Amino acid sequence: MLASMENFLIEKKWAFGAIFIGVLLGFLSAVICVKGNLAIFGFNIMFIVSPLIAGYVEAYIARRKYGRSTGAISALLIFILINAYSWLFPKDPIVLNLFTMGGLALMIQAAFPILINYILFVVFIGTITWVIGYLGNILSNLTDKVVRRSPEEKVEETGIEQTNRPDFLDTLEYPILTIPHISKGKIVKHLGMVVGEAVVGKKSPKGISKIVSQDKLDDMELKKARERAIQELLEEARKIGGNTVVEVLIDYNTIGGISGSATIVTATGTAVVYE
Amino acid sequence: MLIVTTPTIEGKKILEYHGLVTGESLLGANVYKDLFSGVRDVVGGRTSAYEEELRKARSVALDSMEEKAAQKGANAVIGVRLAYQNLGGTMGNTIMVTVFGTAVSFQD
Repeated sequence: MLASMENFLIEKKWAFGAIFIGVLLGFLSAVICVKGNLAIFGFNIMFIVSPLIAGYVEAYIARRKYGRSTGAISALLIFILINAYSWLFPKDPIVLNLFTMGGLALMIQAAFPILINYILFVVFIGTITWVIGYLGNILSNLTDKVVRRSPEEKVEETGIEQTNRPDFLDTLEYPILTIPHISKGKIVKHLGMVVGEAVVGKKSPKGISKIVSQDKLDDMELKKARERAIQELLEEARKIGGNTVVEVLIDYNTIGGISGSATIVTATGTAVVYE
Repeated sequence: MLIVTTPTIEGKKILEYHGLVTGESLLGANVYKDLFSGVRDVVGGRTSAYEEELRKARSVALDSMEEKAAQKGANAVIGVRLAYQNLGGTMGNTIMVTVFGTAVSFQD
């Protein structure tokens, strides 16, 4: 028991050392900031500088000596320490103005980068996007009313799509194949590669509700996207003179980072003249 | 140049195999594009900003493959496969479009 503890400590000594040195240097910089009263518009720069110094030093030592990152624990410790100090012993009380707010945001960003980036790029931009979209929607509805564009046009458009869509694969004269040959009939000519693509996002709203809501397959509109990709494939094949497509491959690919995700559906194949 | 995904060309004889040819292109999807495609989503319409970019990236990849095949003296590429890879990232995404096939000469 004792031996294993000892081994553990020896193994991790540089990790603890890195954290310790990081905390020490961060603390030192904070003391210098307080003693020297390094303040900008009443906001002490230690709030930003000290966690950064601590985290940087820790990461540097950990990478050199320990071989792995230790996860900026010292930055977090310094962050808590400084906050405890400044809220418990307010020598010069923090005044809430634009500069301190900006500084606070920077400090939190230094301590929790992923959370803040999420709020900044997903929640904030998502909200703006939604508002712009909502206003645009109202505007387009209004102009529709003013110009009195007849709604029949729209209905007709969706009508065509609907008669085309549900089982358009079954009504084709020649079937689409995923294999290179068919025993019945004959391929007269290979015309070239054709591709169909479709991008779908999620139906669920952006913003905070995205964090709590669970993903469902219905939300993805995959079926629609697949049909659109196949339709595009077929259209392209007809454009170059083919009447069907062989060796069709359907591929799904997700792109997505912190600011939402989308799925690309692609269909590739070779357009042929088939008899 | 004829580009097909099948291993043979119907009714044509393949004279010579020149070997593997590839083409790649990168497509960066950034925050601003996300923003506008988001607007379109709400207004009603497909995310065509992405689709347009994808089409461009694909044609760049195909063009570079064709060029390499032409350098080898081929007049067709057979057994072509198209693949899309997501290279990830926090802020935006990079999508890599790769295309590969076998360059051949066939008798016309």
